[in-house]
Amino acid sequence: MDKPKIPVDLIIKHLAEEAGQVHERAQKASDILLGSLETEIATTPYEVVHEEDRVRLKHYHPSPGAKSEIKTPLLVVYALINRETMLDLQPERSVVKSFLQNGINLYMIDWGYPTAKDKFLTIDDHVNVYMDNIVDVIRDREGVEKVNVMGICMGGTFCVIYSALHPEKVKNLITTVCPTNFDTQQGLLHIWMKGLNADKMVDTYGNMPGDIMNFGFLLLNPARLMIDKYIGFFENMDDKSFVENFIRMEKWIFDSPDVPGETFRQFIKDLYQNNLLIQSKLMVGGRRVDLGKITMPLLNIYAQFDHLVPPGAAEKLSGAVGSTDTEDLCLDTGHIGIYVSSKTQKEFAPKIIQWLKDREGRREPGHRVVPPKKKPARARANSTVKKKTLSA
Amino acid sequence: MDGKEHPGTDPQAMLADWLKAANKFWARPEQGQPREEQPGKKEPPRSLQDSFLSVMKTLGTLSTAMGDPQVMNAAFRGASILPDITSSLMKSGMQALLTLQNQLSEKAGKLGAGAEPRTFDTIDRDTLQAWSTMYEEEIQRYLNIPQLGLNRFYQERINRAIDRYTVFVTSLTEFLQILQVPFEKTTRAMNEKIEEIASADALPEDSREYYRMWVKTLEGHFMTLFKSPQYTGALGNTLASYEDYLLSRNSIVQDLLQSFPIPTNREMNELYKEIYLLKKKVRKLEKAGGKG
Repeated sequence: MDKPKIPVDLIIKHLAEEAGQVHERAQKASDILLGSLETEIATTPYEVVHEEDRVRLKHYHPSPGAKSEIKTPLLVVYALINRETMLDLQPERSVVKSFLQNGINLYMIDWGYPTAKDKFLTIDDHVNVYMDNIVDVIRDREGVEKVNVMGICMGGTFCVIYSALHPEKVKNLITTVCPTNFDTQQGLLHIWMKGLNADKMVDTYGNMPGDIMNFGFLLLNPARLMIDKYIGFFENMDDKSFVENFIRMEKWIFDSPDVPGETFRQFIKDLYQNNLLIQSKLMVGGRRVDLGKITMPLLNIYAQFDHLVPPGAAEKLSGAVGSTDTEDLCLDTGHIGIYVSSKTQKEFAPKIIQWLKDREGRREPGHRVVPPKKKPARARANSTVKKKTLSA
Repeated sequence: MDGKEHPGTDPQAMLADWLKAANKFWARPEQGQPREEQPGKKEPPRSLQDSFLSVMKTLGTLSTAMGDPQVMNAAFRGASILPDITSSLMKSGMQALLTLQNQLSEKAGKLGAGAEPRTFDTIDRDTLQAWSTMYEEEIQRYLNIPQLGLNRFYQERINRAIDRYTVFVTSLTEFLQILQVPFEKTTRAMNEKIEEIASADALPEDSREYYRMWVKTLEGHFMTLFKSPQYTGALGNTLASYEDYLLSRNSIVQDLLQSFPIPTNREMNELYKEIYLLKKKVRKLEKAGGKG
């Protein structure tokens, strides 16, 4: 047998070149890291128009010159895990900006940072108290009977529950990477959650610590999330824009509020372990969440390579609701990439905008126009109250 | 010993002689100091002397009583069994001591006996297993001995925290050891892969290609591991033992806080719950009022 030919000379040559590049890169990186960096996140201006306990409602300022073809305000409901700032991570990749530039009247819930006093809050409190009050605030401010609702991940699950319990207040429902079917073996999270002792965790921690959850998410793929990611950073440290965006992402990903204990307990037991939602058996605030009552149009977007909410956890929703106008869209990306990757920026927000535009003119039986109420004192002095005249 | 009693050494006779002498001695102070009463002169109080004489009298009486042959016989019979009792007590004490010593020796000898002999390859895992078994079977039970006295509850909570901490550290070590497995497997797989592509003359020139191969292989091994029951079991144990430790630690903190003029966690929780329920009630009333 011939001895294998190992291109030692070439390998050494490349290593020598790389060593030179590393040296050069380190010098540039030091200039970049020691210089001023723009790493702020969520820079799009907004005002807080409603507050209740730790929960705030943000209303974004409309983009100057943007056409407002979609009159119905859109309420974005983020998950209780991590923060809604992800939708406005960097100026050139901002779902918020895309919506505003297309004239969407955008509201977003900021769930805040739960403290020990919030540990008793249940799903019922989040959906039937905070969300419902917020929807009422928007309806009053905008003078509309219904709002468009878009949910993200766990926030999507809340939106599904809300739409089933309060269908009269929701015009269109958009769910994005939203888990509704928990009986799947596709994602590791679903496998692990089956054996989790939620009672013990909640009794121990009170609120579920964000850092522990984050550590759990890192463990889903340590090779990529704990090694490869930082190798990538070191390889691109001489690129200022890369460094800034990397730090923005780090800022967002480790900004993890705790999850109120009782909400966590119910989410794990009723959803992950007993899969009650998709079977229309979930009880929230003493009422059954009947998915058949979701009769408004539904756009269900999920990601092919989502390791947290795999397609199997998201795609069953459209078949379980009572609506006849449903659409599923599976994007070729992951759980976070759906909102921040440059590739999906061209697909994700434009799809939602078009889908809403298509349904904006539709009037349902019994539709009425509600005169707008005066804005609360916290609103900007120069902001104008939009008068709603919904076209047929 | 010939079994015969020599008169000079007969204990009964010796005791009788001693009692006779003692009786005479105790009788003397009372008899030898007659009181002289002087008319018209008041006697000073003699409480000390009286007390002394009273004690002497009592001892004399006792001595006389003991001099009675029947009482003396009975007392002597009792005294003759005293060495037996002492010996019996000592024997019993020594036996208990020996039993305890044997138990301790046996336990010391058993340390690590729970772990079966394994191969050198699994030495780390075996060491951990041996420690875990030894701790559970031989050490943990001492921390679970019921405590006594006023501080028993506090001491029990401290013991429990020590126990839970040890269990947690053991579980965590086991978990970290499992997490290390994909790295070992990846190194082996990479060696094989490099050998394979080297024999096919296809070794990449770019060193980053080796890294890409390594990280992809590592990812694959992690994915396989994460789906295994061993991993989920170890993860579950680590989480559960950490929670147990936190709960036991919190109970000590609770004890400490009680001595300070600040509210404890338990008290704050009660307050939070009360506020939460009150808020719910207020919201309900507000809604009902709004509708009315």
